[in-house]
Amino acid sequence: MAPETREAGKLPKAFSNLQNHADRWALPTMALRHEQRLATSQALQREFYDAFLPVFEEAIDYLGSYPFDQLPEDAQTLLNLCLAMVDISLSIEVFGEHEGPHADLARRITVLNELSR
Amino acid sequence: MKIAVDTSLSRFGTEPIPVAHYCSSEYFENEKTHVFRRTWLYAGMECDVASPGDYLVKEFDFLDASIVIVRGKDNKLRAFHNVCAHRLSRLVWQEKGNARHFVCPYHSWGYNLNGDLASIPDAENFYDLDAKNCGLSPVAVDSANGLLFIHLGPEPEQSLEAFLGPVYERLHNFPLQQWTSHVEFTADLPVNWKCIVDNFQETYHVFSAHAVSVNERSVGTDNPMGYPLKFEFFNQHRGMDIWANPDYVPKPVERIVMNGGGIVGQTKIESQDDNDAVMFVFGLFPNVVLNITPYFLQLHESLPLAVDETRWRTTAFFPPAKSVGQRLAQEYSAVLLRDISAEDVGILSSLQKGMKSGAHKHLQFQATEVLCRHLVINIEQAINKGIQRHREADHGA
Repeated sequence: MAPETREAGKLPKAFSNLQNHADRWALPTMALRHEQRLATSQALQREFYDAFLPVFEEAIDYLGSYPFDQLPEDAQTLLNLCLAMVDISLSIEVFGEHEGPHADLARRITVLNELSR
Repeated sequence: MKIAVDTSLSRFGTEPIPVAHYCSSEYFENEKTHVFRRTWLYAGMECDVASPGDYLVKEFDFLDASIVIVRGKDNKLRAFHNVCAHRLSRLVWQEKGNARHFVCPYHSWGYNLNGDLASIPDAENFYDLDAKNCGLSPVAVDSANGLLFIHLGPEPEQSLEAFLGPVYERLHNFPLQQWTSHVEFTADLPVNWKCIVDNFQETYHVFSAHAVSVNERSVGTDNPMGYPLKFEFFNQHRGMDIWANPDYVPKPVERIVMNGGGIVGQTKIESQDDNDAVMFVFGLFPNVVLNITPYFLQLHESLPLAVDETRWRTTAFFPPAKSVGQRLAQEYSAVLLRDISAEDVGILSSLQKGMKSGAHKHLQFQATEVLCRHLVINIEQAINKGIQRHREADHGA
């Protein structure tokens, strides 16, 4: 079971109003983000989704202002939050009411290797 | 334009398939003897053995084989049974790594990377030991555009290139060796290995089993059942070009990340026929299916553990991301592949029970499930050929 929240790094100032979501979702690996999705109610997932969607493109543009291989720590935290948004979007936009039964099957898949950073 | 199914596919036969092909222990033994022990088998990725001394170990427990593949100091790839010649214990215990030589943990017999026995503690107390003939037992190994294959037979009947035939050339059209960013999933499923191969070589199930996840991408007004655009057959291998719905409207987050990654909507893949394919599927005899898209290649390996137990392992190869946009687009693809796979895991887990139940003696394949039929036919032919060969050898003896 993923921890409810953890001490995530700070988000860039422009996105600091999302810090409470970052504490839950800005996890460094796909496996941890997925675990958090499976352990979190869809209502809570939607709170994150609804809060982030209006500024999601803005966040990607902000990250694009740095060279990809030289993201400062706060920008990396924001990237992790974006990656979590991608995972959560499958639950909110695609699976919807089917997320629960689907999650039981998803637990049977083990991730051996994932995209880095 | 409405997509239709090729009516000539009935040339591969129309009969139902006996369920014994999937659940008889005797049939599985024949597959092991006449198929898996006599053909090139996928064994891993060449990037894991890129430099001299790099090695990987691939387990084929169902064939009682553990194989170590190593890049020699001369840069040559070699493969050996992972068995020490002294008391036949396991030699290499790590899954992958880099070594200057291999030392057996049992009594420290040492081998160089060419497989020669190089050091024996207290050698003088052996009786007339023929150290030259106590090297590691070699196994044929080769690579096709970065994918490693081994052959457990004493002498492969054909080279890997000849075995893969036209697929070998087609594989080289894709910059796989540069696609070094890998996502890998696995699950052990209580099902015959062919069921997993079959699942990834027919599109008939998509509108139903994937109704929630990808139905809208895969069916549309021109193609309500999501027929493939084309089927191809290459000796024992097979392929199809996958259609996708051009009218698919991406979801909000999907649209944002795919646009940001330079991937807009369904982009067609460079096809030999200039049709509207978005993905090529290749079924490599016996137990691999490749899905090739413009953005990633996905390799499904269906590794038997027993007649009714299989380790499904899938690897998606991506080019290393050069931008945040590309990174997010790749994450979307990876997460989607994982979540679609979970739907397959659910349905696949039910098949073996049904096959063993005795409820039906046959299973049915329709026209668009022709690649599944093609696999069954080629397995059957390989088994018959093998049995014939054994008979002739017995006669000769």
